[in-house]
Amino acid sequence: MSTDDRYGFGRRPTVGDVLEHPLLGLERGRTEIAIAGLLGLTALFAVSYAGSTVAVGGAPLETLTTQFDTLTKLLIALATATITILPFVYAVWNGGPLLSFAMPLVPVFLGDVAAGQYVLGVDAVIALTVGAAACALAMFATDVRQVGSLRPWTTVEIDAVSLLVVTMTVLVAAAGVAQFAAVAPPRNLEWYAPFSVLWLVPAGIVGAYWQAAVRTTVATQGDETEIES
Amino acid sequence: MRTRRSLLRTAVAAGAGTLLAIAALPSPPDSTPIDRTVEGSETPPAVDDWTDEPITGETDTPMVRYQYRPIEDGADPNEFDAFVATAPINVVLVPDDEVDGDGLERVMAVLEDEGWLRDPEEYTRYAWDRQESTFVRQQATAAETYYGTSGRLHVRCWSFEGIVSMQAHEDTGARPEHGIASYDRGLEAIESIFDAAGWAVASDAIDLDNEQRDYDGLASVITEDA
Repeated sequence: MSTDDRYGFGRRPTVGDVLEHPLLGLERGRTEIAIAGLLGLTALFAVSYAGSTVAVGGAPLETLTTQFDTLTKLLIALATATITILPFVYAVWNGGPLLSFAMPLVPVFLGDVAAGQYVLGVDAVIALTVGAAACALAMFATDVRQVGSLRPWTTVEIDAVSLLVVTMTVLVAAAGVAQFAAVAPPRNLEWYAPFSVLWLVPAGIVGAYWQAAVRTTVATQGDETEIES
Repeated sequence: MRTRRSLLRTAVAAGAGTLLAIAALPSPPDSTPIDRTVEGSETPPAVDDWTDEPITGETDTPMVRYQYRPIEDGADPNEFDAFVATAPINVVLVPDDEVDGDGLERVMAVLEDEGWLRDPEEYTRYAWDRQESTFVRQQATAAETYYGTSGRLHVRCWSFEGIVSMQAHEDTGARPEHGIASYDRGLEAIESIFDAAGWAVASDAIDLDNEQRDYDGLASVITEDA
Protein backbone atom coordinates (compact mmCIF):
# COMPACT_ATOMS: atom_id res chain seq x y z
CA MET A 1 0.00 0.00 0.00
CA SER A 2 1.64 3.23 -1.06
CA THR A 3 1.01 6.67 0.29
CA ASP A 4 3.50 8.41 -1.98
CA ASP A 5 0.78 10.17 -3.94
CA ARG A 6 -0.53 11.83 -0.81
CA TYR A 7 2.87 12.93 0.37
CA GLY A 8 3.95 14.67 -2.82
CA PHE A 9 7.05 16.81 -2.79
CA GLY A 10 6.59 20.27 -1.30
CA ARG A 11 3.21 19.49 0.23
CA ARG A 12 2.74 19.53 3.96
CA PRO A 13 0.69 16.63 5.31
CA THR A 14 -2.59 17.82 6.80
CA VAL A 15 -4.44 16.30 9.76
CA GLY A 16 -6.62 14.51 7.23
CA ASP A 17 -3.59 12.94 5.57
CA VAL A 18 -2.32 11.73 8.91
CA LEU A 19 -5.71 10.22 9.82
CA GLU A 20 -5.75 8.36 6.51
CA HIS A 21 -2.28 6.95 6.96
CA PRO A 22 -2.50 3.14 6.76
CA LEU A 23 -0.25 2.76 9.81
CA LEU A 24 -3.07 4.33 11.87
CA GLY A 25 -6.02 2.61 10.24
CA LEU A 26 -7.55 1.56 6.94
CA GLU A 27 -10.76 3.58 7.00
CA ARG A 28 -10.60 7.15 8.16
CA GLY A 29 -14.03 7.01 9.85
CA ARG A 30 -13.00 4.06 12.00
CA THR A 31 -9.66 5.65 12.87
CA GLU A 32 -11.56 8.74 13.98
CA ILE A 33 -13.88 6.65 16.16
CA ALA A 34 -10.88 5.03 17.89
CA ILE A 35 -9.18 8.37 18.47
CA ALA A 36 -12.43 9.88 19.75
CA GLY A 37 -12.72 6.94 22.15
CA LEU A 38 -9.23 7.57 23.48
CA LEU A 39 -10.01 11.26 23.90
CA GLY A 40 -13.19 10.32 25.77
CA LEU A 41 -11.16 8.10 28.08
CA THR A 42 -8.76 10.98 28.64
CA ALA A 43 -11.65 13.28 29.51
CA LEU A 44 -13.07 10.79 32.04
CA PHE A 45 -9.60 10.43 33.48
CA ALA A 46 -9.32 14.20 33.86
CA VAL A 47 -12.67 14.40 35.69
CA SER A 48 -11.68 11.61 38.08
CA TYR A 49 -8.29 13.22 38.66
CA ALA A 50 -9.94 16.57 39.34
CA GLY A 51 -12.14 14.83 41.93
CA SER A 52 -9.16 14.16 44.14
CA THR A 53 -7.14 17.29 43.41
CA VAL A 54 -9.57 20.15 42.93
CA ALA A 55 -10.83 21.46 46.26
CA VAL A 56 -13.99 23.43 46.84
CA GLY A 57 -14.07 25.17 50.20
CA GLY A 58 -11.06 23.19 51.42
CA ALA A 59 -12.49 19.74 50.65
CA PRO A 60 -11.69 17.77 47.46
CA LEU A 61 -14.61 17.41 45.05
CA GLU A 62 -14.82 13.65 45.58
CA THR A 63 -15.84 14.14 49.20
CA LEU A 64 -19.05 15.81 48.03
CA THR A 65 -20.53 12.80 46.29
CA THR A 66 -19.92 9.07 46.14
CA GLN A 67 -20.48 9.31 42.37
CA PHE A 68 -16.71 9.69 42.09
CA ASP A 69 -16.42 6.09 43.32
CA THR A 70 -18.76 5.09 40.49
CA LEU A 71 -16.56 7.02 38.09
CA THR A 72 -13.49 5.22 39.45
CA LYS A 73 -15.22 1.89 38.89
CA LEU A 74 -16.07 2.88 35.30
CA LEU A 75 -12.61 4.26 34.60
CA ILE A 76 -10.84 1.15 35.89
CA ALA A 77 -13.11 -1.01 33.73
CA LEU A 78 -12.55 1.14 30.62
CA ALA A 79 -8.81 1.48 31.19
CA THR A 80 -8.49 -2.27 31.69
CA ALA A 81 -10.44 -2.95 28.49
CA THR A 82 -8.25 -0.45 26.62
CA ILE A 83 -5.10 -2.08 27.97
CA THR A 84 -6.11 -5.69 27.32
CA ILE A 85 -8.88 -6.22 24.73
CA LEU A 86 -9.74 -3.17 22.63
CA PRO A 87 -6.39 -3.02 20.76
CA PHE A 88 -7.11 -6.47 19.28
CA VAL A 89 -10.65 -5.47 18.36
CA TYR A 90 -9.33 -2.35 16.66
CA ALA A 91 -6.53 -4.22 14.86
CA VAL A 92 -8.97 -6.68 13.32
CA TRP A 93 -11.59 -4.02 12.59
CA ASN A 94 -9.41 -1.32 11.06
CA GLY A 95 -5.77 -2.49 10.78
CA GLY A 96 -3.43 0.33 11.74
CA PRO A 97 -0.35 -1.17 13.46
CA LEU A 98 0.78 2.05 15.12
CA LEU A 99 -2.57 3.02 16.60
CA SER A 100 -3.11 -0.58 17.73
CA PHE A 101 0.21 -0.41 19.56
CA ALA A 102 -0.36 3.02 21.06
CA MET A 103 -3.92 2.34 22.26
CA PRO A 104 -3.11 0.27 25.39
CA LEU A 105 -0.28 2.63 26.29
CA VAL A 106 -2.60 5.66 26.46
CA PRO A 107 -4.25 4.88 29.85
CA VAL A 108 -0.92 3.77 31.32
CA PHE A 109 0.69 7.00 30.17
CA LEU A 110 -2.14 9.07 31.68
CA GLY A 111 -1.62 7.31 35.02
CA ASP A 112 2.13 7.91 34.93
CA VAL A 113 1.60 11.59 34.17
CA ALA A 114 -0.96 11.98 36.98
CA ALA A 115 1.24 10.18 39.50
CA GLY A 116 4.46 11.80 38.29
CA GLN A 117 6.22 8.42 38.13
CA TYR A 118 7.70 7.13 34.86
CA VAL A 119 8.05 3.50 35.75
CA LEU A 120 7.74 0.13 34.03
CA GLY A 121 5.12 -1.43 36.29
CA VAL A 122 2.88 -4.44 35.66
CA ASP A 123 0.23 -2.37 33.86
CA ALA A 124 2.91 -0.94 31.56
CA VAL A 125 4.38 -4.31 30.57
CA ILE A 126 0.91 -5.75 29.99
CA ALA A 127 0.21 -2.74 27.72
CA LEU A 128 3.49 -3.27 25.85
CA THR A 129 2.68 -6.96 25.38
CA VAL A 130 -0.86 -6.35 24.16
CA GLY A 131 0.38 -3.45 22.00
CA ALA A 132 3.02 -5.60 20.30
CA ALA A 133 0.54 -8.41 19.63
CA ALA A 134 -2.15 -6.04 18.34
CA CYS A 135 0.40 -4.21 16.18
CA ALA A 136 1.41 -7.44 14.41
CA LEU A 137 -2.23 -8.52 14.20
CA ALA A 138 -3.12 -5.22 12.51
CA MET A 139 -0.59 -5.79 9.73
CA PHE A 140 -1.80 -9.36 9.32
CA ALA A 141 -5.48 -8.34 9.31
CA THR A 142 -4.82 -5.66 6.69
CA ASP A 143 -3.25 -8.18 4.32
CA VAL A 144 -5.80 -10.91 5.04
CA ARG A 145 -8.49 -8.44 4.08
CA GLN A 146 -6.65 -7.57 0.87
CA VAL A 147 -6.02 -11.11 -0.40
CA GLY A 148 -8.69 -13.11 1.41
CA SER A 149 -6.22 -15.73 2.59
CA LEU A 150 -5.04 -16.60 6.08
CA ARG A 151 -1.47 -16.87 4.81
CA PRO A 152 -1.30 -13.50 3.09
CA TRP A 153 2.50 -13.36 3.04
CA THR A 154 2.54 -16.06 0.36
CA THR A 155 0.55 -14.01 -2.14
CA VAL A 156 0.54 -10.35 -1.16
CA GLU A 157 3.48 -8.13 -1.94
CA ILE A 158 4.87 -7.45 1.52
CA ASP A 159 4.76 -3.77 2.45
CA ALA A 160 8.32 -3.09 3.58
CA VAL A 161 7.45 0.03 5.56
CA SER A 162 4.77 -1.63 7.60
CA LEU A 163 6.85 -4.78 8.21
CA LEU A 164 9.77 -2.64 9.34
CA VAL A 165 7.61 -0.50 11.65
CA VAL A 166 5.91 -3.56 13.16
CA THR A 167 9.23 -5.31 13.66
CA MET A 168 10.76 -2.30 15.39
CA THR A 169 7.72 -1.88 17.62
CA VAL A 170 7.70 -5.54 18.61
CA LEU A 171 11.43 -5.43 19.40
CA VAL A 172 11.05 -2.34 21.58
CA ALA A 173 8.15 -3.90 23.50
CA ALA A 174 10.07 -7.16 23.91
CA ALA A 175 13.09 -5.29 25.28
CA GLY A 176 10.88 -3.54 27.84
CA VAL A 177 9.22 -6.75 28.96
CA ALA A 178 12.60 -8.52 29.17
CA GLN A 179 13.95 -5.77 31.44
CA PHE A 180 10.89 -6.11 33.65
CA ALA A 181 11.06 -9.92 33.77
CA ALA A 182 14.73 -9.78 34.75
CA VAL A 183 14.14 -7.84 37.98
CA ALA A 184 10.46 -8.18 38.94
CA PRO A 185 9.66 -10.11 42.13
CA PRO A 186 7.62 -13.33 41.81
CA ARG A 187 4.24 -11.74 42.66
CA ASN A 188 4.55 -9.29 39.76
CA LEU A 189 5.66 -12.03 37.35
CA GLU A 190 2.66 -14.06 38.46
CA TRP A 191 0.36 -11.16 37.57
CA TYR A 192 2.04 -10.78 34.20
CA ALA A 193 2.19 -14.53 33.42
CA PRO A 194 -1.25 -14.93 31.74
CA PHE A 195 -0.34 -12.23 29.23
CA SER A 196 3.01 -13.74 28.28
CA VAL A 197 1.26 -16.24 25.99
CA LEU A 198 0.30 -13.27 23.76
CA TRP A 199 3.92 -13.14 22.56
CA LEU A 200 3.07 -16.07 20.27
CA VAL A 201 1.08 -13.61 18.11
CA PRO A 202 3.82 -11.12 17.14
CA ALA A 203 6.47 -13.86 17.08
CA GLY A 204 4.38 -15.96 14.68
CA ILE A 205 3.27 -13.14 12.41
CA VAL A 206 6.53 -11.20 12.21
CA GLY A 207 8.46 -14.46 11.85
CA ALA A 208 6.28 -15.61 8.94
CA TYR A 209 6.52 -12.24 7.18
CA TRP A 210 10.31 -12.07 7.45
CA GLN A 211 10.64 -15.64 6.24
CA ALA A 212 8.54 -14.77 3.21
CA ALA A 213 10.46 -11.52 2.66
CA VAL A 214 13.82 -13.27 2.77
CA ARG A 215 12.57 -16.01 0.45
CA THR A 216 11.35 -13.40 -2.07
CA THR A 217 14.63 -11.47 -1.88
CA VAL A 218 16.69 -14.61 -2.41
CA ALA A 219 14.50 -15.58 -5.36
CA THR A 220 14.85 -12.10 -6.89
CA GLN A 221 18.60 -12.12 -6.44
CA GLY A 222 18.72 -15.57 -8.00
CA ASP A 223 16.94 -14.15 -11.07
CA GLU A 224 19.36 -11.26 -11.27
CA THR A 225 22.36 -13.55 -11.10
CA GLU A 226 20.98 -15.54 -13.97
CA ILE A 227 20.51 -12.39 -16.03
CA GLU A 228 24.04 -11.20 -15.32
CA SER A 229 25.70 -14.49 -16.23
CA MET B 1 15.00 -1.95 -7.38
CA ARG B 2 16.59 -0.45 -4.30
CA THR B 3 20.30 -0.23 -4.19
CA ARG B 4 22.33 -1.98 -1.57
CA ARG B 5 23.31 1.40 -0.10
CA SER B 6 19.72 2.53 0.41
CA LEU B 7 18.89 -0.80 2.05
CA LEU B 8 21.84 -0.39 4.36
CA ARG B 9 20.79 3.16 5.20
CA THR B 10 17.26 1.97 6.05
CA ALA B 11 18.63 -0.84 8.21
CA VAL B 12 20.90 1.52 10.14
CA ALA B 13 18.08 4.04 10.66
CA ALA B 14 15.69 1.31 11.81
CA GLY B 15 18.28 -0.14 14.18
CA ALA B 16 19.10 3.27 15.64
CA GLY B 17 15.42 4.12 16.00
CA THR B 18 14.76 0.84 17.80
CA LEU B 19 17.67 1.38 20.20
CA LEU B 20 16.57 4.95 20.88
CA ALA B 21 13.03 3.82 21.66
CA ILE B 22 14.33 1.08 23.96
CA ALA B 23 16.47 3.66 25.77
CA ALA B 24 13.41 5.89 26.19
CA LEU B 25 11.45 3.12 27.97
CA PRO B 26 11.04 3.60 31.71
CA SER B 27 13.01 1.35 34.03
CA PRO B 28 11.32 -1.41 35.99
CA PRO B 29 10.87 -0.57 39.70
CA ASP B 30 13.26 -1.85 42.32
CA SER B 31 10.64 -4.02 44.06
CA THR B 32 11.18 -5.99 47.24
CA PRO B 33 9.99 -9.61 47.11
CA ILE B 34 7.06 -10.21 49.45
CA ASP B 35 8.57 -13.43 50.88
CA ARG B 36 11.66 -11.68 52.22
CA THR B 37 12.46 -12.90 55.74
CA VAL B 38 11.69 -10.05 58.10
CA GLU B 39 13.81 -9.83 61.20
CA GLY B 40 11.39 -9.27 64.08
CA SER B 41 11.89 -6.31 66.40
CA GLU B 42 10.53 -5.25 69.75
CA THR B 43 7.56 -2.93 69.74
CA PRO B 44 8.62 0.69 70.27
CA PRO B 45 7.90 2.50 73.57
CA ALA B 46 5.45 4.77 71.73
CA VAL B 47 2.91 1.93 71.48
CA ASP B 48 3.68 0.18 74.80
CA ASP B 49 0.37 1.20 76.34
CA TRP B 50 -1.60 -0.58 73.63
CA THR B 51 0.11 -3.95 73.31
CA ASP B 52 -1.40 -5.78 76.30
CA GLU B 53 -5.13 -5.60 75.67
CA PRO B 54 -7.14 -5.72 72.44
CA ILE B 55 -8.14 -2.28 71.15
CA THR B 56 -11.88 -2.39 70.69
CA GLY B 57 -12.96 1.22 70.09
CA GLU B 58 -12.18 3.83 67.42
CA THR B 59 -11.49 6.45 70.10
CA ASP B 60 -9.23 4.39 72.40
CA THR B 61 -5.95 5.20 70.66
CA PRO B 62 -4.54 7.48 67.95
CA MET B 63 -4.55 4.55 65.54
CA VAL B 64 -7.82 3.69 63.89
CA ARG B 65 -9.19 0.18 63.40
CA TYR B 66 -11.09 0.48 60.14
CA GLN B 67 -11.47 2.57 57.03
CA TYR B 68 -15.03 3.70 56.25
CA ARG B 69 -17.26 4.86 53.42
CA PRO B 70 -20.34 7.08 53.67
CA ILE B 71 -23.58 5.08 53.62
CA GLU B 72 -25.18 7.62 51.30
CA ASP B 73 -24.45 10.87 49.49
CA GLY B 74 -24.31 13.89 51.74
CA ALA B 75 -23.53 11.89 54.88
CA ASP B 76 -22.50 14.16 57.75
CA PRO B 77 -18.78 13.49 58.40
CA ASN B 78 -19.25 14.42 62.05
CA GLU B 79 -21.75 11.64 62.57
CA PHE B 80 -20.09 8.29 63.25
CA ASP B 81 -23.14 6.24 62.30
CA ALA B 82 -23.41 7.84 58.88
CA PHE B 83 -20.44 5.78 57.70
CA VAL B 84 -19.85 2.04 57.45
CA ALA B 85 -16.53 0.18 57.90
CA THR B 86 -15.11 -1.43 54.76
CA ALA B 87 -11.63 -2.78 55.52
CA PRO B 88 -9.44 -3.29 58.60
CA ILE B 89 -6.33 -1.27 59.36
CA ASN B 90 -3.56 -3.89 59.49
CA VAL B 91 -0.34 -1.88 59.80
CA VAL B 92 0.63 0.81 62.32
CA LEU B 93 3.66 2.93 61.54
CA VAL B 94 5.53 5.07 64.03
CA PRO B 95 7.67 7.74 62.33
CA ASP B 96 10.49 9.10 64.48
CA ASP B 97 9.10 12.26 66.06
CA GLU B 98 12.59 13.71 66.45
CA VAL B 99 13.16 13.79 62.70
CA ASP B 100 12.10 17.05 61.09
CA GLY B 101 9.37 16.99 58.51
CA ASP B 102 6.19 15.10 57.87
CA GLY B 103 6.28 11.52 59.19
CA LEU B 104 3.49 10.40 56.84
CA GLU B 105 5.51 11.66 53.87
CA ARG B 106 8.52 9.63 55.02
CA VAL B 107 6.29 6.55 55.11
CA MET B 108 5.11 7.28 51.56
CA ALA B 109 8.67 7.97 50.37
CA VAL B 110 9.57 4.35 51.14
CA LEU B 111 6.79 3.19 48.81
CA GLU B 112 7.71 5.73 46.13
CA ASP B 113 11.26 4.37 46.18
CA GLU B 114 9.72 0.98 45.38
CA GLY B 115 8.21 2.49 42.25
CA TRP B 116 4.68 2.77 43.68
CA LEU B 117 2.33 5.45 42.31
CA ARG B 118 0.81 7.97 44.70
CA ASP B 119 -2.96 8.63 44.48
CA PRO B 120 -3.79 5.90 41.95
CA GLU B 121 -7.29 5.35 40.56
CA GLU B 122 -9.16 4.26 43.70
CA TYR B 123 -12.29 4.66 45.84
CA THR B 124 -12.45 7.42 48.44
CA ARG B 125 -12.36 6.12 52.01
CA TYR B 126 -12.41 7.78 55.43
CA ALA B 127 -11.14 7.23 58.97
CA TRP B 128 -12.39 8.59 62.29
CA ASP B 129 -10.30 11.37 63.83
CA ARG B 130 -10.96 11.09 67.57
CA GLN B 131 -9.56 14.56 68.37
CA GLU B 132 -11.77 16.40 65.88
CA SER B 133 -14.64 13.91 66.10
CA THR B 134 -15.00 13.77 62.35
CA PHE B 135 -14.33 11.48 59.41
CA VAL B 136 -11.19 12.40 57.48
CA ARG B 137 -10.62 11.48 53.84
CA GLN B 138 -7.61 9.26 53.06
CA GLN B 139 -4.53 11.41 53.66
CA ALA B 140 -2.03 9.48 51.56
CA THR B 141 -2.45 6.51 49.23
CA ALA B 142 -0.22 4.49 46.93
CA ALA B 143 -0.40 1.40 44.76
CA GLU B 144 1.96 -0.58 42.55
CA THR B 145 0.06 0.43 39.43
CA TYR B 146 -2.49 3.07 38.56
CA TYR B 147 -5.32 0.72 37.53
CA GLY B 148 -4.24 -2.72 38.77
CA THR B 149 -5.18 -4.40 35.48
CA SER B 150 -3.96 -7.79 36.69
CA GLY B 151 -3.70 -7.15 40.44
CA ARG B 152 -1.78 -4.73 42.63
CA LEU B 153 -0.74 -3.96 46.18
CA HIS B 154 -2.58 -0.90 47.46
CA VAL B 155 -2.48 1.11 50.70
CA ARG B 156 -4.41 3.99 52.29
CA CYS B 157 -2.98 5.95 55.23
CA TRP B 158 -4.09 8.35 57.94
CA SER B 159 -1.82 10.06 60.42
CA PHE B 160 -3.33 11.07 63.77
CA GLU B 161 -1.30 12.28 66.74
CA GLY B 162 1.97 11.20 65.10
CA ILE B 163 0.89 7.59 64.52
CA VAL B 164 0.19 6.38 60.97
CA SER B 165 -2.64 3.89 60.44
CA MET B 166 -2.35 1.96 57.18
CA GLN B 167 -4.83 -0.27 55.38
CA ALA B 168 -2.78 -2.57 53.13
CA HIS B 169 -4.29 -5.10 50.73
CA GLU B 170 -3.78 -6.92 47.49
CA ASP B 171 -6.39 -6.15 44.84
CA THR B 172 -7.62 -8.77 42.42
CA GLY B 173 -7.27 -7.99 38.74
CA ALA B 174 -9.94 -5.64 37.36
CA ARG B 175 -12.70 -7.97 36.07
CA PRO B 176 -13.97 -5.39 35.41
CA GLU B 177 -13.78 -4.05 38.99
CA HIS B 178 -11.35 -4.83 41.79
CA GLY B 179 -12.01 -7.12 44.69
CA ILE B 180 -9.87 -7.86 47.73
CA ALA B 181 -7.50 -10.73 46.98
CA SER B 182 -5.85 -10.64 50.41
CA TYR B 183 -5.31 -8.42 53.42
CA ASP B 184 -2.61 -10.70 54.76
CA ARG B 185 -0.39 -10.51 51.67
CA GLY B 186 -0.75 -6.72 51.70
CA LEU B 187 0.46 -6.75 55.31
CA GLU B 188 3.33 -9.13 54.50
CA ALA B 189 4.44 -7.01 51.56
CA ILE B 190 4.49 -3.84 53.65
CA GLU B 191 6.55 -5.62 56.34
CA SER B 192 9.06 -6.78 53.71
CA ILE B 193 9.30 -3.38 52.03
CA PHE B 194 9.82 -1.40 55.24
CA ASP B 195 12.22 -4.00 56.65
CA ALA B 196 14.30 -3.69 53.48
CA ALA B 197 14.20 0.10 53.88
CA GLY B 198 15.68 -0.18 57.37
CA TRP B 199 12.56 0.33 59.50
CA ALA B 200 11.99 -1.96 62.51
CA VAL B 201 9.13 -4.43 62.07
CA ALA B 202 7.22 -6.03 64.94
CA SER B 203 4.70 -8.56 63.57
CA ASP B 204 1.37 -9.32 65.28
CA ALA B 205 2.15 -6.54 67.75
CA ILE B 206 -1.20 -4.89 68.43
CA ASP B 207 -4.56 -6.62 68.66
CA LEU B 208 -6.91 -4.23 66.83
CA ASP B 209 -9.77 -6.70 67.15
CA ASN B 210 -10.60 -6.25 63.46
CA GLU B 211 -10.06 -9.66 61.88
CA GLN B 212 -11.51 -9.91 58.38
CA ARG B 213 -11.08 -12.60 55.72
CA ASP B 214 -7.47 -13.84 55.81
CA TYR B 215 -6.27 -11.20 58.30
CA ASP B 216 -6.30 -12.22 61.96
CA GLY B 217 -6.80 -8.80 63.57
CA LEU B 218 -3.21 -8.53 64.81
CA ALA B 219 -1.61 -5.47 63.23
CA SER B 220 2.12 -5.09 62.69
CA VAL B 221 3.94 -2.13 64.17
CA ILE B 222 6.67 -0.64 61.98
CA THR B 223 9.00 1.93 63.51
CA GLU B 224 11.28 4.36 61.77
CA ASP B 225 14.81 3.46 62.83
CA ALA B 226 16.65 6.73 63.12
